Amino acid sequence: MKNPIERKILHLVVATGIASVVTQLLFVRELLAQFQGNEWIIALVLFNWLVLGGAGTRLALAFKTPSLARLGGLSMTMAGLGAVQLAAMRILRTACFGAGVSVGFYPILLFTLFTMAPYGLLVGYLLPYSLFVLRQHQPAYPGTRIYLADNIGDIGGGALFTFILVVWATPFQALFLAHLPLVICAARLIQGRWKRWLTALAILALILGGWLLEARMLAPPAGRLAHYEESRFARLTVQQDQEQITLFADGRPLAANNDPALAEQMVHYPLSQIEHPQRILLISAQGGMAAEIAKYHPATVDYVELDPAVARLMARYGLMESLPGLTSIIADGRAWLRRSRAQYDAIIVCLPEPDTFQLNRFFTVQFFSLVARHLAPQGIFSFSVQGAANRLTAAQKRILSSLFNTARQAFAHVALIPGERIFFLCKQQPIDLDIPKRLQTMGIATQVVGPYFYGDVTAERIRDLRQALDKAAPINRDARPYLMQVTWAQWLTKFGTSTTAFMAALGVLLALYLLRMRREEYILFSTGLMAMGSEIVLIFAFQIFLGYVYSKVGMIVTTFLAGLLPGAWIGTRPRKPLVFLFFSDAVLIALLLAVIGCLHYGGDGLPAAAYYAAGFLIAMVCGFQIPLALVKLGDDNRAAARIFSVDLVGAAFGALLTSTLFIPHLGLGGAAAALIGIKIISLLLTGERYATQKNASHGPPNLYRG
Amino acid sequence: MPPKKMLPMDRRTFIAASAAWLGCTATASAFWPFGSKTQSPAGEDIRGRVFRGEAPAQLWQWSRQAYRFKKMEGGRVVCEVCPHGCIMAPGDRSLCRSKVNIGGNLYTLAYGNPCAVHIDPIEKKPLYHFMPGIKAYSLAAAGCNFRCLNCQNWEISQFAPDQIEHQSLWPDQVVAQAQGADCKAVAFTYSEPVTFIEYMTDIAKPAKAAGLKNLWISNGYINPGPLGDLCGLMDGANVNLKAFSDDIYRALNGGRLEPVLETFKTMHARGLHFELTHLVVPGYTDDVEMLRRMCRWILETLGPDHPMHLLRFFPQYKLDRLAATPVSTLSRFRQEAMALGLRYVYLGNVPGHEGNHTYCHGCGKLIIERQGYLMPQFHLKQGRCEFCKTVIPGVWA
Repeated sequence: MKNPIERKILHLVVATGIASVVTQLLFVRELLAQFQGNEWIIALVLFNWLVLGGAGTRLALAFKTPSLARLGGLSMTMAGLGAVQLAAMRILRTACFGAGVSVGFYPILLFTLFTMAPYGLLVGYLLPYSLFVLRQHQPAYPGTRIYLADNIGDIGGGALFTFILVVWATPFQALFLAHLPLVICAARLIQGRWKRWLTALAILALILGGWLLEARMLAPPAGRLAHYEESRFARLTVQQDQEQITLFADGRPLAANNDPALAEQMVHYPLSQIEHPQRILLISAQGGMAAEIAKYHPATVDYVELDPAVARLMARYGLMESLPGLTSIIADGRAWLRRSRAQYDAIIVCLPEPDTFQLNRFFTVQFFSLVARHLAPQGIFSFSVQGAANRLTAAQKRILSSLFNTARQAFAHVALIPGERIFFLCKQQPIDLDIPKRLQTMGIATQVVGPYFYGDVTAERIRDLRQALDKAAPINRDARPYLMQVTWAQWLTKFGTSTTAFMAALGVLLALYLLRMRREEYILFSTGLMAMGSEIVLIFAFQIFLGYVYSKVGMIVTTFLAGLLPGAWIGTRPRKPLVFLFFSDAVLIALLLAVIGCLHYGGDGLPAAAYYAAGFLIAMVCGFQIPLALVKLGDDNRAAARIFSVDLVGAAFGALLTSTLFIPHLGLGGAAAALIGIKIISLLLTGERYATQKNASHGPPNLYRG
Repeated sequence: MPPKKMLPMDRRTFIAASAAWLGCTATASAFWPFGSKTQSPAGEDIRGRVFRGEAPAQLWQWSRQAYRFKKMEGGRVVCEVCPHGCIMAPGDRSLCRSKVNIGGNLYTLAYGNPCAVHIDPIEKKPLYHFMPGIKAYSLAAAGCNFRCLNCQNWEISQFAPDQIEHQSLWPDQVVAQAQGADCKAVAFTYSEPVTFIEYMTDIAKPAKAAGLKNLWISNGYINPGPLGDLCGLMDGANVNLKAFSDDIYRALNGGRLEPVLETFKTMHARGLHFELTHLVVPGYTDDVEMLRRMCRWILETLGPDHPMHLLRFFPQYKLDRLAATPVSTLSRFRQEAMALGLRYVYLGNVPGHEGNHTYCHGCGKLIIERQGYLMPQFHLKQGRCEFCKTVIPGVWA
């Protein structure tokens, strides 16, 4: 890298890679905090981001006169846009939808698309544009080098976010740090010393302004913001409104100090079933539960909380009062239970709805069986899900039926208590649902359960609920998360929405896109799709089997990005691109088959390193194909832009299809099989092209001719 | 090749471009096709619309011709039950999803097909001054003429009668079942009974004849004509006064304030026993000035004797990203309302609070203590305070 212009541009590309990956992850987290933290929304946001990137890449072809100065200006613009757009996401969310209001699929789709658009388009635009500028100085400059530089930046950005920013920085702080190199690199391309540094300072001041106003942008509609922090798992805010303290995670109330009904139900419904509960396990908790548990004078209470920040805030704001024998354990509840040898009289799960893979793990037959093994012979297990005041929707009935059938696999007796939250009590002995009477016998006074139970939980409501259960509903399993499908259906029902129109429109667009595509482009499209799809399969499998440890999930992303780099570097070596494209396709299929086999037979026993290794290897093969395709398609400006674009659009569909269709409907194994199916088409196309060339050449194949 | 001339995107252009983008996006929010502003004084509203061409091809056994509608030209009809006044061409479905125009006639699809039937304590409605301790045979058919973002019964109210599971229960069967379950009243509740007014009136008549009380739990969004009919059939009502602001009514509930106020005036003039409910939603209806205006209007128009229930909000339905209402806000509101002159102000969804109990407005003593649905103390005889003999407003036997 001797040419100073080349050096400046490659530095800029690396800095753009760092900034764009961090911004992408920040946007995903921001939009999850603003809307709904489930995999469908993650997939939707990723899809939008990647499609915008792909569109931006194509747009680069529209401008005929690339210039170094314009590259600097656009990069500087991009650095400023991150902060502007992050602020816009927060301000416009309330302006468009109102304070405290949840919205459905299409509003989220449009909002995420529009608010990410400027940055997303520009990121996609800048990669090929940088190459075009370089080629004005060095016409034969290989596109692969730009791709490699981008990869280095991406890896840096992934690592920076995963290991430093997610732990130490708020979103605007992270934006500032991630864009600092970009601003410096972009400033070097701007002519005029004063102009250069004034522009840089203005952009940095803009981001710092966002930092200063960060907490103000999160002010609640009532009361005051008492605390704000970004934990590894969620955005945590504490709202104080007079005497009332409410802890929010990603904008949703998680626990409050003034909800005696919920605290009493969570505690007394299960504990009333045991004579003298001595050992209690709480997986997460609600405000006020400790005081209710104290009425039973247990010897030990283990309180397991995944997020240390949640446990800290629960204690600091009095949501989890101190209790004799209380031990707080920071761990994934399921992983902890698997390691523990403790036996409990009661295990109480106080988690939100099973609408993510992470949460679904606490509602599967595998988890229920694990719980059953840790219960004393007379022990009780309880959990709850959203119910309804007076009538259940069809989707809710399917959720309850599946949960009932799943719980029955591990427990001889399962009773449901109706209400706006429906409680499941699971035991190996019969369950007595005259809870007020039991509490009276035990001498335990309550404010809600005793006085309200007979009016709210009538025999007729219990009977109706029981009759609503479908004995044929599928069992919810780790690798086949049926509940994910149904909670999605329930979410759509709530907003009166169907995704059919979206999926149909997407199908038509995809078909048109594929029809216009060259075979080599399809190979890369399927590679992008498979790469992103495999990454999602690995992340979800990791969550399911090893628990939700954010830094480790970040490791998968980082190893994935890291795998692309050596792959791309090796990909510059082979002289027969078509042959190597063909064989690398076959290797990808073999790798994914190996992943399925390992997940099937390894399950919980697979070490984390196996996931990292799988991610690295799959990414390496995917990265290997990009330079081959560049060689194969000629590596002119047009080809380079098309290749970068096709890869991004493939990844977009990989994210969407794997998260929303393949895994929920087919399970992990089925999702991997679907990805393999898509890759087999690519393999056949490559093989056919290879055979055609071989016949045409009447001799040893010259695979450069395409 | 040396770099070309200086970049066209300088600092000024960048700032202008960013401002333009923000401006465009903000302007675009005004035309945003989904959702609405809820705090805008300009009054973006979430009122529903007539569902064009969404009527079923033919009627089903749970249909009856609507009791109140007017025929118009071209086979169109206008529903005269509620202030929305839906005008429907043949094949259209009303905003409340319950009425359809088929062949130039208006039919209800909600007759004899309740989707929720339960036996509830009357205190759950809530009705605190109407035969305390009785059980109410409570039922609802699907549909609603509002779109409340915080609806507690959205599983019923935001669906059409022909979209969801239901049971077949004709008016005489309702009466027989209510009597069989030892209920003293039939309550039309959960969703909005105005949307199944034909079914409700046809149940209320035999119920009244059989000695059962009829209770109407409603948002009060009904025209004076049909309301007049109902007043002759109902024995008690709880009507929700969701806000004392038309903007909030439109943005949070999808209705208008004025027709609801007319409903209160009509019920008061007809001498129907009714209680008011007001949900205090943080950031929306927790404005103490609004409460004062509301209480003054109640005092001037309806008098001090109609019990008012201030309910604590909990995150519900689409309004699930808010905290619950602080109890101290409710306590303060109760004190304000009583200081202004309302005699019976209760707090709902706040167990253990003194606002659950009834205190005589004459001597101030506790006359009904409520612990949930239990009444450990009851010092009322023939509608009078046992201590000072003051007449306590309500229906006590």
